[in-house]
Amino acid sequence: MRDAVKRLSDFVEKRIAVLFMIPTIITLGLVLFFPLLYSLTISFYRWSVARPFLGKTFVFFQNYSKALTDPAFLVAIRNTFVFTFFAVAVELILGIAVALLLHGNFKGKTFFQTALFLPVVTTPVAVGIIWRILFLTDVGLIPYLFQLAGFERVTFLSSPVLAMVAVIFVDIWQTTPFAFTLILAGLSSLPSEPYEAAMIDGATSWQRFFYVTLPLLKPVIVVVLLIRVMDAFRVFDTIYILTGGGPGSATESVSTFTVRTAFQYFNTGYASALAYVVFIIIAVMSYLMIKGFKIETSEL
Amino acid sequence: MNKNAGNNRVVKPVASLVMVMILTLSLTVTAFAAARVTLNVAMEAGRMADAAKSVVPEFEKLHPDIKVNVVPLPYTTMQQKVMTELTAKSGAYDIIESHFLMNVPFVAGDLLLPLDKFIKESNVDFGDFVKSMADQTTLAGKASKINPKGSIYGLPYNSDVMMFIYRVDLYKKYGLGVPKDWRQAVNNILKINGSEKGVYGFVFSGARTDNSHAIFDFYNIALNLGGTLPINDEYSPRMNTPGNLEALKILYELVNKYKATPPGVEEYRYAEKNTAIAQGRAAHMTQWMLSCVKSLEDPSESRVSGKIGYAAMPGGKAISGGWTVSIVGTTKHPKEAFEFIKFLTNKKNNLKLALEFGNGPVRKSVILDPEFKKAYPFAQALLEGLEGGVNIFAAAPDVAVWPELTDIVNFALTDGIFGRLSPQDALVQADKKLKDALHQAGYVK
Repeated sequence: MRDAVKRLSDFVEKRIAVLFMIPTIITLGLVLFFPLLYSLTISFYRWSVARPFLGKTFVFFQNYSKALTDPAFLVAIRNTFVFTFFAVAVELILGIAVALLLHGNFKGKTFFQTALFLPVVTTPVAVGIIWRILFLTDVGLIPYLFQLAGFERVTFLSSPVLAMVAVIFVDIWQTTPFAFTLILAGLSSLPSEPYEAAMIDGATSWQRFFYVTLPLLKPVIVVVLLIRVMDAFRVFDTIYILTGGGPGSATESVSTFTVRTAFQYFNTGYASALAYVVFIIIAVMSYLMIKGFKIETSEL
Repeated sequence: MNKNAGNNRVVKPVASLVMVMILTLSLTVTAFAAARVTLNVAMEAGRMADAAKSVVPEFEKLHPDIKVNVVPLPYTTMQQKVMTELTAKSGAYDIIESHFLMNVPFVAGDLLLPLDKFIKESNVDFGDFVKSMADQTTLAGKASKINPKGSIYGLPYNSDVMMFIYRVDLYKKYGLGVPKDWRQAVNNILKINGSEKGVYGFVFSGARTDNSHAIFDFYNIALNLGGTLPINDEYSPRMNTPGNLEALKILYELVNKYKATPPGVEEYRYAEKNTAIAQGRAAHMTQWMLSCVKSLEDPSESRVSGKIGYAAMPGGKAISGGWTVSIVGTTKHPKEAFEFIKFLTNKKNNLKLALEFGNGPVRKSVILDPEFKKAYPFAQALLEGLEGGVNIFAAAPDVAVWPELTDIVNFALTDGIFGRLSPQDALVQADKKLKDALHQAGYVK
């Protein structure tokens, strides 16, 4: 009898749990899955919100094949890979270095941590505007400092290579603190035993770093890497404000190209296909990174 | 049993119910009577929104039943924001401020209210609007494929035309005359560039970004050398023409051969040109007149106030544009909305906003008003410019992909000017890309 009551109470509890989850499921369905499915649907159409009189034609995979052969989009993909590779690599190395510097107790640690974290909480658009002014050839502080140092007035935003260097630099400035904060948290949670054992074995500080710290930090580093790669690949605000994708198409990223296609050209179907191509690239990259670093998903 | 008592049992509740109903009804009626209509007006943030806001108190005083809420939107996101709201029929705005390029998809999508009936029934003096601005309200000045009835889709609010801006003091110093054509203009540019230390001859918008004006700076030259607009009425690209090539070569040589433009001119958008002139680092530019004159003549912002000359474009043809105020098709208050735009664009307010905020006058009577002439001594040249201004999009206004086309042209022009392609190849490239875009959009096979 008691078992029967318990079974009944369990049954009711489970049903109540489901009942309580329904609003969340409905909300998620509306705000997350519906737009995703809707944009997937329109990626198979030639359709523009600005040209309703041209109709909505089902073109199957035509938008996708156009994306993969569109020279402008292919240049944007190349630029985005270059940006992501250099920005994330430097951010990671600097992140580890700064985390190691800030690891341990010293006077003013909290101040440094807070001050260094400020760029992360600054709006990317504001960051873009400020750095644009700093980089402008004729009124910017940076070209002026180069000139003071005896160089020619450097045209950062009008040289294809230097413009890319400038956008990568700004991204590094803004997101390195994110990397070091996570890595510092990882460092603080490492056990002391492996270090003690390494010291007894006579390991140098470099050996301790390469053979103890790095392997133990691997899960944290991979998390930082994954988040930053996904984020950097979608870079928009900084480039849009700083260079607008120029000079020429030297800093055009997949996001600036997609936003231009969607909201300036109002080529809605094609833009949706572009967004899905980017989504697939990011998904494949993330999968390869997890596989490549031999990380179990439970460790992430 | 008392018969009255029985009646009371029925009558009292019924009477109470009737009283409650009457009270509720009267309260509802009063509430409705007291309710004010709210008009939401989307406007470009900054000068134009501030100007519109300044007339709202007086309008609300005249129309106590209407409340006007001006919503300022930054230019860079304005088009996509307004387009999204209008397409979704969200009812977020009753009135929108827009320019020609924004209006094309709005008219094509049947998202704006034709105003012909309102104009006919009201006392709006439509003939007083300058020609290029009146033309803009129909998107071509006549019936077109996009607007077969030639309906009017807005009232002109803020005009502008590009003019040739030069340093009067340097012209006097070197004995130069105001150029009548671009050959003379180039000579003047090179003279000052070579003679005046620290002053470059010319500045223009070299950036390829969405809000770059490279295309306008180019056409101010090309239109006066026999150049052609990017496409014709039959949607045929025509960038690669002798006039356009000559204009592109002029810009290419000013930058690369004569070094007559400042380093970094490739980063210049709209504002940087003004800064270079205001700081005295450059001697000439072509610029949207009324958007720049206030800052160039303000001694707190400009080192050259009082030293600037404003002339008609060498050759006489200039790019013109401007902003209209239109009523959104889904508004529930079209009459009230028309009352507001009529008020906003009447002669009194048009003059007031031109003098106080630097808005572009849209009425001939305002430009010829002594008060305006006193504030803007070049008013006559301005009127001529506005009456004969060329709208770059007017050739084929039914094309709803102009943002894409202008981007292609901007891209090709900056490639040609800065040597990534030869001027000839840049124009060939532009034609090819324009053709592809028009084909993709279904305009040509």
